[in-house]
Amino acid sequence: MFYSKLDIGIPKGSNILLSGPPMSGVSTMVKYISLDALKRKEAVIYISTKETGERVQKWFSERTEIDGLGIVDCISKSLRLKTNIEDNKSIKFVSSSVDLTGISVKYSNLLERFWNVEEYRDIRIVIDSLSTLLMYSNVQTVFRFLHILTGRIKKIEGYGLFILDGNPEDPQVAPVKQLIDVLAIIEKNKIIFVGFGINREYEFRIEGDELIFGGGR
Amino acid sequence: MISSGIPRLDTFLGGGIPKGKTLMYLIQPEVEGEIFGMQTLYTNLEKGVKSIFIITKSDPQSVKEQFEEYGWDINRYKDELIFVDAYSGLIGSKSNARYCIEDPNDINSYDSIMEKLIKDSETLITFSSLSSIIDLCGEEAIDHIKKWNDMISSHNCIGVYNFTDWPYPKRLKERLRDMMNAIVRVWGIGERVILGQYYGVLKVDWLDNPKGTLMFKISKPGGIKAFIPKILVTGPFNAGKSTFIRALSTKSVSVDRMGTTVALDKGHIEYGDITADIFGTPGQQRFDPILKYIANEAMGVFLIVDSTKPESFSRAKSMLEKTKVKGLPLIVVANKQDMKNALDIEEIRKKMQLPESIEIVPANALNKEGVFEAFEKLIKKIEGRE
Repeated sequence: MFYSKLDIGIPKGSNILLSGPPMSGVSTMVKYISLDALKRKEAVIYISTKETGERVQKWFSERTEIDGLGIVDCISKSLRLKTNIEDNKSIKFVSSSVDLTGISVKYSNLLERFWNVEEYRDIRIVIDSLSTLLMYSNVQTVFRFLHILTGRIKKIEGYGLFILDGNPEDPQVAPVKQLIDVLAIIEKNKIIFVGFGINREYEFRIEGDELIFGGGR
Repeated sequence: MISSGIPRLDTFLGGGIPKGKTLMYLIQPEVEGEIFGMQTLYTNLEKGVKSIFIITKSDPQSVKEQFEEYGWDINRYKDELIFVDAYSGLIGSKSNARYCIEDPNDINSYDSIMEKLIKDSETLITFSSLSSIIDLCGEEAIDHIKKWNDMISSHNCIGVYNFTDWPYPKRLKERLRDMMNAIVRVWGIGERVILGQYYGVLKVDWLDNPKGTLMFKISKPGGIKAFIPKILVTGPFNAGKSTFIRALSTKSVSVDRMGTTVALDKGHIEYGDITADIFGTPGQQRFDPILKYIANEAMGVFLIVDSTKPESFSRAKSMLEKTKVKGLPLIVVANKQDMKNALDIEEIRKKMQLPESIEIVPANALNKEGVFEAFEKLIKKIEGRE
């Protein structure tokens, strides 16, 4: 299930692009969606290009058990925040957001752990954010990377949640949209889902640790 | 000729990579394959081969740290190794490398540095990621790579490329394949997620009929190791199977009850350039019905016998039958050779009626005597070298 308090019938194996203007709270929304999944004992692989793995881990660990959380940290190594940064069971590091090959290897390592060793069958992969990847690499390169990743998500029947800070109508993003099944646009306190025959608009707010959706239209 | 530095690959290449040739590691996305180029580079630095490393995805310092993760200190080879930094220019930071590509998005800016560096013969030129150069510069890069390959050939250098096999246009991939002398494919297996990794030779233009594939694992430290996913250890009750597994293993688990194994022994071996997972069967007869399931998909077998107990030898032979491992590489380990009443190898062969083709290795698993000899012999058989 995409989100326990919002059953709008997004099938498993879907790739969802969530976009909104900067500061619109897209990242926060995706974190709460992921938190909901962790609470239901599902696995989340969080590819972070903006926050260090440690911070992402802290955010989740303050709110729930994080056995099912794996993080690909694309920032700590290039910022040189520490020396001798080494992968651990839950956080894997890549040298920079340019290194899409490295990102693919690390999420694949985490998938192997969750799927094969720990036998999770509901896994979601988050990219926070696609905008950073598009800043470092051209759109064809990001497209090829996403082509592999979205294919993998279909194979494991998971969910892909990709964050875009900005306008999804931007022609620069157009090729990437071919790989997306559902588009979620966030504006102020509203979210609009488009795709799979779904066209629904909800109001939302955050209460405690939960995302609350108001009446849909 | 230089060594590829990858376990068994030199054999598949007919001895190594000849001078004047290029080799591309064709790596499936999501598979940890860029270490192939790094391991080839590091192996040759250790042998004093002059080397050039073109890096595209991080600065020289991060690259050094990447090598350190595998236990490789490249600072020791300042005289042998030249970095070409094709990353710093991309993010607008200053590079401390001697050679820096000013605009990594422009393939022409690589040319002058390549011309300067591909001069001395017998230099190893390694590209950390050819795919990222193509990503940055577009398809036009292919013509330039062809030119670099010609330079490598005419100056008797050696070119090694890591290339991630993203879904590029077919034509681009074909052109690239055509211009390389050798291609080694690195890929993953598994239906839903990648569970194991192989490499295999696709093309070697200096050999008539190139072939060879190998399953591998990556150790940190250590690098690429040949991987044998299942070796079976069987034998009668109390022959010393668990002790044998413990003696071989870097990590092992035994499900014991009152000092004997009632379920399953499992160990992980790291030895030389090989890693292997090893599984033991219980020896009691009541477990016989499950033996063949434990043995399923094993690649080689150790049969452990207690050299002091000839009365258990027929049980040993019947266990071999019950595990249904006939035809698999087999080594008989004659354990407890330190005991006074131990039979020697020839007596055991006679009593067990084993043909000369089956090797018996004397051992004392408690003191680890003979266990690694037995392991080496089995590996040779598994790999078909003996």
